[in-house]
Amino acid sequence: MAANQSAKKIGRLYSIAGIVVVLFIAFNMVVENLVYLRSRQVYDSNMASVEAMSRMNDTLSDVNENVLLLVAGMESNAGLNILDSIDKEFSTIDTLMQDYEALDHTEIEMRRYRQACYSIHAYERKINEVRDVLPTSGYDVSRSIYTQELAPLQTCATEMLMATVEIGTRNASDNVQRSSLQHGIAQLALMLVTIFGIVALFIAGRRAIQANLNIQQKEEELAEAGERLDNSRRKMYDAAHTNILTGMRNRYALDSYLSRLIGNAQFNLAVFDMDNFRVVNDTYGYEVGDEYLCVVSDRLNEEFGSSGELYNISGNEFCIIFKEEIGDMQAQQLAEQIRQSIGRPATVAGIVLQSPVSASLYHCLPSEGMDVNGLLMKMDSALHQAKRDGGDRLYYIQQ
Amino acid sequence: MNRYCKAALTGMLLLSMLGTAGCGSGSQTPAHTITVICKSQDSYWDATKLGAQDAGEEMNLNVIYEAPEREDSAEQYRMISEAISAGTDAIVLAPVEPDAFNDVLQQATAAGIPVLTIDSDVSYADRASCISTQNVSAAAIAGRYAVSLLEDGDTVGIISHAVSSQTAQERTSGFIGEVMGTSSNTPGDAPKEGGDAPQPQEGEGGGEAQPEGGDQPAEGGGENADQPADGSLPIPDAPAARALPEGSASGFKLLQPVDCGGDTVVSRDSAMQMIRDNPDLDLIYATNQPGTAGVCEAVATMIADGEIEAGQIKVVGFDYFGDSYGTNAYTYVTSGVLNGVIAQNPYNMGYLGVRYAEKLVNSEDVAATVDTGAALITADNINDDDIQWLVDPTHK
Repeated sequence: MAANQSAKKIGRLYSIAGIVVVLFIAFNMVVENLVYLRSRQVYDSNMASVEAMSRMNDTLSDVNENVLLLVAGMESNAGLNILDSIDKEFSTIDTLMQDYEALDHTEIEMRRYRQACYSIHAYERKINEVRDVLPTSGYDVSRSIYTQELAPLQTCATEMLMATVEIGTRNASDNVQRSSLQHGIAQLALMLVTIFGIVALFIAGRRAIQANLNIQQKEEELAEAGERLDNSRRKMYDAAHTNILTGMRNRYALDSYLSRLIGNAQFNLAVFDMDNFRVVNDTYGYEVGDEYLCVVSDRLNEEFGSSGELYNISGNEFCIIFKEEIGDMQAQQLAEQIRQSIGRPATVAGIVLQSPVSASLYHCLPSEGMDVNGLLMKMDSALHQAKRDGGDRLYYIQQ
Repeated sequence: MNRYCKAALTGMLLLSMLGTAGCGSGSQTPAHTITVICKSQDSYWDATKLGAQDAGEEMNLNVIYEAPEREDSAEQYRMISEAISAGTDAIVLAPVEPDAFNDVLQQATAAGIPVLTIDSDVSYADRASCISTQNVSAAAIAGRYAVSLLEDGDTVGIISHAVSSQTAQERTSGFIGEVMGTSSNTPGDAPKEGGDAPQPQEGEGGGEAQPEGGDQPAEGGGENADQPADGSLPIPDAPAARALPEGSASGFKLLQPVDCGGDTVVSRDSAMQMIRDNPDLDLIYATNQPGTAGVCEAVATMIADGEIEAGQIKVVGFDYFGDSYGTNAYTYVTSGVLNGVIAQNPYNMGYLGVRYAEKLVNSEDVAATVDTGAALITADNINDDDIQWLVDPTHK
């Protein structure tokens, strides 16, 4: 049981490790995708910001060139009215501002952008104030207005725009670095998880193999224990069904065998009793008597063990159930031979002992409907009758 | 095994979360140290400080801002010297005097520390760049605006803040040049201190030729250097400079500029006296912040007292001011007392000063002079966003 629980635990751990590895790989894939998408979004936004700012700055330079043409006294350039060109250029700048403001920016970047806008608006307002004056007031005045009022505003606007671009570029660089760091960490985590997963699976596999070995060992131990138990049971059975003194099967074994046999088969059964055995015990003691019984039982086993099942059903009482193939007549002959064998002299402790033997024989049919006790009482009855009739004889019990 | 598994998985999760959720704005160590030294702790310099700090934040620089309690060249000298000793990477200086720092700036150059000036310049030849308002240009803007307010034959008075100051001289000459129609000053032509800046003197029938000559007043220790100790009106000795240009196209009458030493009370009293002494006076131009505040107070008081009518005396001033003068410039502009005031861009000076300093540290080229410009604030534009930001850069 313990081995099974351990195996289940190992299996569960195996499954959890696999699931965790899969989840982590999936999680990291999602994270990597998010990092990539975020980086892409930030990068695109930064690039769009820088482009808008750069175009704004270029357009501001175009405005400045046109203002210089006005200062020089020109009202048109390449067939285009310069003031109209300036208006269009500021309109372009307004559009670029809207594009820029639609994007995400840091607070610092927006602060610088707002100040750039202030400078651009101041520049635009000043141009509008002097737009009619510049072409008509003469070069000296126009030059003074330009150098003293317009140029500083244009310079500051340009500086603020360039500062905004630089902040945006720095932010883009920082974001790229941050994304790279996130990407690296995600990859590192993925690698570590993969390594961890492989190690976990390896360890779990080794544990599983060890568990299997343990199970096999336990099963072998269990089988050995079962065998030992069977042996013990068998021994207990044998002990219960064996006469301790003679080693022959006892009365319980006879009952057990007969209960299976009666009603199912026909057989010849003979019971023997030593007529003077008590005298032996009384005369020479129980030790001699016991040894005498052992000699007799050994003799029976040796001479008639192949003729049927031999039993020592009490101290000096023996029984044989002849094999099925032994017929009635042969059974009578063998029963007589057994009776005489038991009665032959035997030497125990230097003493020659001999006892006449009475016996009863019965041919039992399946249809008689007797039970074990009834059959044995019948046999005992015939045996006692033989003893009453002087002993040393065999009675065949008729149906 | 299970315990190790949990610990390892938790570690992975934390690592992964750190990589995905974290990675916020990691503050980087500032690359360079820029020392910004301004003239004083007057509120005017707050915008410069803010601009310098904004630039430092945007460019990841360590900006150290310092300023003496009051304009003090010795104190500025000490600050420059300490910055050099501390190993600063660049110095941005608003010098209270042009010639007082040549030797210490020489030390800075020898140590490989670039020096930039803001607001006003030094005579030290190796300063890398000067980022300032071109006073002549700014005064010319004021002059052109004054002309737009005047009619032929009108009389113009000037409340100056220190005839010995280069700033005062430039702001006066730039204004007069435009009013008298002889302006030939451009940013590149700005006269250096000690040069022959025009010093007009009072004269009936403006435009009358006066002999040029006389000693240039000695340099003072800043804009307030020549303020008289007894509080009397510091009218400069005549003839102080060359005469008003002959043959002025405008035909305006120009009174002798009055040096009020940059004091608000003196400026106020001088303006009152000027108005009373010259019943035909039409416009007063003040060359600095205290002067402008004093003139505005004088005009507002005399209107309130019924001495003059509203709009009778037009005022054009220099440097926008806040509540520290009792009534702020916004109130004077919107009430019609102050017709126009020139505002410099101290924020941009601080911002561009640090920005250019970083460029110099990185061996990039920068312009030798940068005009941060000047804005004319009138009732028409005072509420515009860019003007509001200019007068209060903390206004987002």
